[in-house]
Amino acid sequence: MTAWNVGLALPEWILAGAGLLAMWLDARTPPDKKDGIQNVAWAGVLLATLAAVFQGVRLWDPGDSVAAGGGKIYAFRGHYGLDAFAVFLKVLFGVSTLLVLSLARSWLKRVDRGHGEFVMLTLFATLGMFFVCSVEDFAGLFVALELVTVSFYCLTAFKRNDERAVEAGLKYVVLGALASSFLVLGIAFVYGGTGSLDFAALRSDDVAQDLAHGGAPLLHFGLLLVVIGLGFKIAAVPFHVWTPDVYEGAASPVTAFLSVGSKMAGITLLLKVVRACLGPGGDAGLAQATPWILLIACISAATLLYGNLGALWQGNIKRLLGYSSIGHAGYVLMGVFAFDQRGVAAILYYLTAYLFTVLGIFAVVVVVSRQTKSHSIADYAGLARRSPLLAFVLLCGLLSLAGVPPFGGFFGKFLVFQAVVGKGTPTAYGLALVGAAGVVISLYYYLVIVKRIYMEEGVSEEPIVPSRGMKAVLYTCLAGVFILGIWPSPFLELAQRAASALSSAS
Amino acid sequence: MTVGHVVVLAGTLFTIGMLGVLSRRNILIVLLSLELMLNSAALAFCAFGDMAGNLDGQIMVFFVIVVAAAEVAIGLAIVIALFRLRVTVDTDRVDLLKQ
Amino acid sequence: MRAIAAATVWADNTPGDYLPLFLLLGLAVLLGATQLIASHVLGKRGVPSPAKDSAYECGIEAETSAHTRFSVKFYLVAVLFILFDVEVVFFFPWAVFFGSGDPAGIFENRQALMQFAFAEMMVFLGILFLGWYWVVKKRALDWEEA
Repeated sequence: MTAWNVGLALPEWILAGAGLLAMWLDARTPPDKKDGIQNVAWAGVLLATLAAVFQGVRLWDPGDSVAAGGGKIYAFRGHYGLDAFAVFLKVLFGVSTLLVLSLARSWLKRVDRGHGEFVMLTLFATLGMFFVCSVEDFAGLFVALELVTVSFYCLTAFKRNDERAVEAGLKYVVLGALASSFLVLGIAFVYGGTGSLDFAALRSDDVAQDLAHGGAPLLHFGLLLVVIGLGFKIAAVPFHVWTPDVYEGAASPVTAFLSVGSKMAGITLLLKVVRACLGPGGDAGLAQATPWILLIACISAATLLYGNLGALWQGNIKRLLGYSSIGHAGYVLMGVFAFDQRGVAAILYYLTAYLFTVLGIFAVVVVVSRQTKSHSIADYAGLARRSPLLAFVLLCGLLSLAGVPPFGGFFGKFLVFQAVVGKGTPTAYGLALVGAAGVVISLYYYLVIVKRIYMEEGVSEEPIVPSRGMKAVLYTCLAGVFILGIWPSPFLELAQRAASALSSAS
Repeated sequence: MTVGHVVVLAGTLFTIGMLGVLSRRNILIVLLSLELMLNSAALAFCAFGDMAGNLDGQIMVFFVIVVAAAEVAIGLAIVIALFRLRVTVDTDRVDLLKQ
Repeated sequence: MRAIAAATVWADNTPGDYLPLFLLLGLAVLLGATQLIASHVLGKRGVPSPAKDSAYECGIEAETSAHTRFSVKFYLVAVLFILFDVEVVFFFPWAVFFGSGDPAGIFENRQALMQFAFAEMMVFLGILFLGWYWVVKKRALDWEEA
């Protein structure tokens, strides 16, 4: 715990170096020669992800001294921790950034300025996401989360001559800063309750007793505010108001990154905080506090219903995906509700499938809107004739989001429901019922789009041809969605390993 | 003056800031109110730091100050961009994105 | 942040230690007050008249309100100033820790503390200067073009 062990943060060092190098290059190169910066960013994120994988292989080896000693290594005098859970999520963040950077490459060709800035901000946001996986105290939580969020404020308002983008950016900044101040005040009260900023202080037996039986009001109040702050980041009802507007107004690659990266960062921190509140063994604390269990169940149910019902009336595909992303936050919260090893493994699997599904759909949105100059769902009519590949990716993506076998999203939902029903309490059954209703509703609005693209005649028959880079993204996402649906066992094993690392974290 | 008094002051300031964010229409006033909220949280950190008897709270204040500066700087930049496009700082007139 | 016991850092301070600070404060107040009073006493004041209240003799009457808009240039420079200005707060804990000589015994010896503190501050300043270099290269500080 007291070692500096600076080299452990190798992925973060690589990302920070790549970000600063991109900044240096951006300052030195003329505006028409920015392609090199994108290559630097791509290489940096790839290297960082590979470094994380390498660390994961070390942690995975059962003969290793680290794996034997609880599976967690500390650096920076205990403020930075690395276990299978952190590695799993770092790889997810790395893969999603690589896909987003590839998505953005063809999109950036249409933007006349700010290529360097876009790449820098993406890299710094990714750096924040990597740190989010490894924070061990509330100071780190706050700074890492703000690194992600502040980068996203800029990215949202990136097209500064587009009124919608700037308006979305403004709404995101104001509501985001509001959520941040709730988070900070919450951290202050938790600090007042425990006298320390470390997650470890929350994990003690005394605190678990207080949390389970309503002692320590400062702590309860602080945790409530922290949950509000993090609920904003993952777009849980009633802290979701920004989501549809920001998703619609921001540029499509940014929306894709927002719906995957930013959301996963919030979920990671929520899991870490909730785990810290469950006592040393993982079954005390909040897991025994009925009001908290009910609160999480209520937020989850409201999020499921609101997201899926709101999506019914949307005519804009990005707005629809915004509501759908609120709905998916509800499924993830179902996993949080079932807080045990199975629930966490289910969430991790869910996020893996969600990543490929959503990025595939957004790749289609970027390509189609480039030709039609519109995000209206009506303009997707007859897409199957204009480009069979795009239509097929959209079909698979939407069905995976809805949770239809044999796609990756099905397995994610299946695991989440299994974890919730396994609880066996009336609340759990009620929540599972609401979740099932959400699936049925979502099936309707996803199938309406499918009908549009396959059955209806479009106004134009002009073919849409994705660029080579876009095709690579589309095929990667398609492969991810299929493999996660048909051959889940190796990924499930990894997710379970990561979940057990989080549960046993000492 | 005890820790409790300071925390009550911080809570009061936080509430004033929140009411400002929710009720004012001028975006610049909204940004001011957000700054008030973040800094009241910093004040709470100072108070609880005194109670806990360590310097963690005071260190946290530095982070809060810097993050608040970054957020407000970006907020101002976006307000300027919006003003160039729309010539208004009235939140009620920023309403392109609706159902 | 492992707690550096507050008492260890501040215990040696007596009211006398703050004497230079109070002297500086007194000097600042004195200087400001002297200038204000001097201009009040020494400055000539005449009787107001229509001629004196009118616009300056070679000027023209003001046509618009005095509440004109500021150029956006001011905001840009002010925002950049605030950002670089606020970053300086991180010097304070660094300096306090360095000056306190590591009371919690985190480093083996003073040599290790000095090396680490120097490297840490160089990394911080390096990032800060890279940001400044980027701002200059982006011509954000060029007054004429902004």
